[in-house]
Amino acid sequence: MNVGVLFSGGKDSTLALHLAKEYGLKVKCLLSMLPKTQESYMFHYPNINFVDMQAKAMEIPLLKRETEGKKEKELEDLKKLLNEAKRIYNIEGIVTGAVKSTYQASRIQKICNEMNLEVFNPLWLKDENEIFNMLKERNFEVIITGVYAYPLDESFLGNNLIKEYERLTKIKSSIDISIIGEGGEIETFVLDAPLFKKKIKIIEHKIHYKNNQGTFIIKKVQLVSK
Amino acid sequence: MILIIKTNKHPIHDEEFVKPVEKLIDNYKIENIRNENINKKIYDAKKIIITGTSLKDNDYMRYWKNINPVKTLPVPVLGICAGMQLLGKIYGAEIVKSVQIGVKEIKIEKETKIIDKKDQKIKAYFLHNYTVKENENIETISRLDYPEIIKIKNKEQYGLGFHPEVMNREIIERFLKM
Repeated sequence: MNVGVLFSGGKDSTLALHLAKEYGLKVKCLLSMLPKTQESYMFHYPNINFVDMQAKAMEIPLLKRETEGKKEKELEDLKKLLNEAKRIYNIEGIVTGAVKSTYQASRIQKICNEMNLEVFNPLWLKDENEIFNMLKERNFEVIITGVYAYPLDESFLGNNLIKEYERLTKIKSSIDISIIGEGGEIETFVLDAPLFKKKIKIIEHKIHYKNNQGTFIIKKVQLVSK
Repeated sequence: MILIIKTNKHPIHDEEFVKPVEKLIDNYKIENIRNENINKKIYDAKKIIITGTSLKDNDYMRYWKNINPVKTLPVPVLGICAGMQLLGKIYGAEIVKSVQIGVKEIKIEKETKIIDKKDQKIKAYFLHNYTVKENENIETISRLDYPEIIKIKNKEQYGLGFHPEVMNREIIERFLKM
C-alpha cells in the first residue's frame, strides 16, 4: 500500500516511518506541516524547517505546507496537504507517530475517514521504555531540541536522548515526567537512523533557555557520509 | 490459553490493535490467529478476545462465518469493535453504518460481569464506521445511536463498540477474572 508519513523530524514520526518500511508499506512521501506560530495545537515545531535535510538524507520526497497553527485552520491545511499527496503520489493511507493522544489521533482519524485514507499508528499505546528500546535497537541518533518542564534544564539541550537515559530515569524516580517527552516535556530531532543514507551534522546552533523552557535552535547543518 | 482472534488485514495494524491488548494480558498464555485462518485452536481456548481494526479495514467481514464455533463454546468471549460486529453477526445481528470516532460518553444501562457501573456514565474511545443492531439474542448494556456494549443472552459473551485498551482497561481486567 502506498502511504505518506506525517513527519515532524522528531523521534516518533521517524520511528513510525521505520516501522512502516519494516512492515512493507510503500512510503511514497513525507508530509510536514510547518506552523508559523509557536502555538501549534497538533504539530511540533522547533526545527521543523530542517525536515528538508532529513528527507534528503533518506532520499524520500517531502511535501510540506505552512499553517498558521490555529486549531481548525490547521486541519484544513492538513487536508490540503493530504489531497496533494493523493494527487501526486497516489497515497492510499498515512502513517503517524501518535502514541497516546486520543485528541490528536481522533482528529486525524476523522479527516482520513472522510478522505478515504487508511491510517497506521504503529506506536499507538507503546510505553516510554518500549519506544526508548526501539530507538536504541535501531541505533537512532536523536538529540534533545526542546525542554519544557522542571527540572529539565539547558544542560540537556543538544544532547543525545539515548545517552541521557540514566539522567532522565533518575529524574523520573522523583518527578513524574515522561523520559521521552510524551507529555510535551521534551522535543527531539533525528540526526541519523537506519533509513538515513547520509547523516546530519549540526554546524551551527543557538540555545534559548528561560524559566524551565529551552530550545536548541538549529541554524546550519550538513549531510555527511555514514 | 487465551485466544486472540485478530481482525486486521494489514500486519502493521498488530502494533495498534493487537499488541496493546496482548500487553494487558501478558500474565496469561496467549495465542493469536487472524480470523481468516481460524482452526481447531479455538476449541482449546479458555477465553477468547476478538480485537478490532482500522476504520477503512472491512476485510474481516469476509470471514465472519469462521467465528461461528464461538456459538457452541462455553467460554467467555470479548469482541472489541470489529470483534463486536463479528460476534453480533454470528448471532444474527444486522450490521449498520454508524460513524463514531473519538472520546464519547456512554451510560451503562445494566450491570454485567465486565462492567458494574449501572446508571453511571463512562468515557470511552471509539473508532468505528459500523456497529450492530440489537436482536432477540442480544442485550444492550449501553448505546449511542446503536448498541455500544452488548451481551449475548444467557452467555458470558460481550461486545464493545469502543477500545477498552485505550480507555477503560478495567473492563479487560474484569474479563480476565471471569
